[in-house]
Amino acid sequence: MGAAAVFVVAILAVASPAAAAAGAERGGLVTIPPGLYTPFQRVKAANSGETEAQAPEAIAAFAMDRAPVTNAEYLGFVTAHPEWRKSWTKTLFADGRYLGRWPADLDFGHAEAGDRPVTDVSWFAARAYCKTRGLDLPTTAQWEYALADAGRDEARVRARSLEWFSRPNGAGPGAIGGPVNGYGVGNLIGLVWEWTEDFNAYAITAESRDPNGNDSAAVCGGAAAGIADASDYPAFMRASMRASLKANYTADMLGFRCAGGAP
Amino acid sequence: MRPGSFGSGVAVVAMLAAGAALGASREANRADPIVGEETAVLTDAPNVPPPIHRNHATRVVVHLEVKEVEGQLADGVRYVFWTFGGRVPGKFIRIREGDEVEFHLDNHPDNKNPHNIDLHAVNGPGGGAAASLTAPGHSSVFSFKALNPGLFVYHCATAPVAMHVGNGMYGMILVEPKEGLSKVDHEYYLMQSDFYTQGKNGEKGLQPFSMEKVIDEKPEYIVFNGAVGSTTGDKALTAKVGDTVRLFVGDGGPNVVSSFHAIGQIFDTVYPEGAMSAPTHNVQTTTVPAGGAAIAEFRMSVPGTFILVDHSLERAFNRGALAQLKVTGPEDKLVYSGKQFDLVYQPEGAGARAATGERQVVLAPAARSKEERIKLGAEVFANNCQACHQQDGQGVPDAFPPLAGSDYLNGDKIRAIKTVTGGLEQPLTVNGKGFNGVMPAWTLSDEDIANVLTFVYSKWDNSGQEVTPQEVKLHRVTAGAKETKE
Ligand code: HEC
Ligand SMILES: [Cu+2]
Repeated sequence: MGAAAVFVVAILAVASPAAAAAGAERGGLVTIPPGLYTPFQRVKAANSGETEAQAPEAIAAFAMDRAPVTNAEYLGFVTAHPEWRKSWTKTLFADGRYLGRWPADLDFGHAEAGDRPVTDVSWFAARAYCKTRGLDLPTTAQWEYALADAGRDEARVRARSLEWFSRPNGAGPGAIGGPVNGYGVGNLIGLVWEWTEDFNAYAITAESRDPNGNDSAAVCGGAAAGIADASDYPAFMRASMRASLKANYTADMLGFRCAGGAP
Repeated sequence: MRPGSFGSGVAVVAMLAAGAALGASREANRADPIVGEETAVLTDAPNVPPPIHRNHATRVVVHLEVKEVEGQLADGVRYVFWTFGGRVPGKFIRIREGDEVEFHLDNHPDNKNPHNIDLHAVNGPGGGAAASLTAPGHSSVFSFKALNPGLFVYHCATAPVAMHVGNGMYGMILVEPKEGLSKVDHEYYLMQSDFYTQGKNGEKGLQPFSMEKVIDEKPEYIVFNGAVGSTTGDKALTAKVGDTVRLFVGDGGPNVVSSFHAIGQIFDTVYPEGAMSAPTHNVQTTTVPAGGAAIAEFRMSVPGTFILVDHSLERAFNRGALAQLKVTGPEDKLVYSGKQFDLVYQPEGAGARAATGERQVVLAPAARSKEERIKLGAEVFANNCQACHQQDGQGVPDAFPPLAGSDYLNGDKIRAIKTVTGGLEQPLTVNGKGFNGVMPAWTLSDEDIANVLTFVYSKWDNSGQEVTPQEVKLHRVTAGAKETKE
């Protein structure tokens, strides 16, 4: 018991500066201006049964992490909240692979992992983390709106996304940092998939190819008729990924960042 | 593939020709009671799991693991394949009509993407896709009863479908009819599909998937069993004279339909579209739709190398859709004589013609030494010459002359340059054997021709001389026509 306590203190002493450094480097929250966002999924019109583009959604100004939450930051969280350590967490809230790359409860492994996105976290865990910062997970609309970046650099973002999907996981994600988009947000693609608050809102069904099914306008795959932009493969990929998840799932390349109201 | 003996060849032909509608009704299969349980044997192409000898339906447990892996698409061309079981095409599954299948789709934790499966053998929404969308590191389970016999394609149906299928996510499931299939000496699994790389056909290195090309339906590669050369040379299918062969042929697409044909071998029986109800006989070429299948059965009567192609031929000789079946055994001169006479036929106006088509604009890197020339030439050879002259340079008897130890080649370097640049369609004798085929003129650059010939001369006990681009420029037959192109 005593030994365990010392261990925790020791880890804290080492981990805190690292976490602080990573936090400083990623610069915390970025404010995103208000605007309109049109979800790429089409919906089925009530009267005609035809699918149609969704009405643009108004997005209020909000704040969002510049980069995904890192292992070092997450270590700070589980240190303060023992109920989210890997050996304490119930599978109801995080499946058996929770924090799978971490050798122990308060150890994320190699020092370089400190500024890499934390992965293998469930939606419950990610959310709990954001709550401790007084934040939420971004909604799917907010996340996609931030990625859309008012249309800047669209072709390159798509090309880089496709390239990333095709790269096997290997050693796991790289470090956060590097260029940011027009809003000042970075690492939305190319490191990890990310949880959203309402990841399951569109994912009513996994069947992807029926443009007119009752509940499938969400991720209608092969049927071009059902899509706002049928050639936006990365948007399909993100929608399919979200559709495949349940709130207690964890995955090797699935991380998160937090968001909240504009400061 | 499995051995099985059959009395006489006559009996085999009679049996194959007698093929009739097979299978029971859906209602009967639905009601068929399940006895026992077994785990499915899964195989990689070109192998097929053994025939089923059960005379009752059972519960078959299938574990299919999705893996995203880097592999070879063509010589020097790497690609990240998304696979059912680690290879393209996916594992072959064999069950019997009436069986109840407990299907586990396991998405390996190292994978980056969600996947599902649509088995065309399933009656139900999405063919299982609706029940099987699976996140990386997770596993989905669903069950179905095999109501219809036949050979069926399965594939991933996760959005965007063309990307998942375009990356290699397809395979086949055979639902054997109750009567079983007739006994044959060899069963093989061959699946055609199309690939869309950002680099042009033959461009080396790790090639990313091209969304633009898949949307435009412009494949760079069309191949059998997941790679150029997957089933040629020492990986060719094999049989002996007198053997019966059954090919389970599928087309994974995502876009291209196959005109499946065996050069020099008529199919005794074909089950078109993989359907058991209406076999046809004496077929030359059978269509295999994207997302569809066919079963072709035939008995080998003479030895030789039989080339299996998509008879939309540009695909076979330029994009990769070519496999080989090598048959050994005694000749039957009554069935096939081999060349009997070697006569000159010169209609008016005949002569070598340059194969029409675009001149290649991509400039090959210039070789700085003979070693480099040989190295670059090896790639030119693999991409342009190997399909006919073979990897070991031995050619194919009576069809494509050998380059290995060829007196024609070694005797005269300038003639060789003229042959390759001008094409050849005259009777010629190579090492004492007569040939009278057609080789198109090659519209390759001076550099490429110099490299490939230097490579050829350096191999297989050939003379070892070097050919330079300057020599090619000086002697190329179709030079005039080409220099004006750009
Ligand atoms: C479509 C099949 C095909 C391809 C591909 C092909 N050839 Fe040929 N080649 C032939 C045929 C057929 C002949 C014999 C033509 C005849 O009988 O008139 C031949 C003859 C030759 C000969 C002279 C005969 C000998 O054996 O020495 C050379 C040299 C040769 N080819 C080199 C090449 C090179 C180099 C390439 C690649 C750039 C190539 N061929 C690609 C079919 C092909
Ligand atoms: Cu898939």
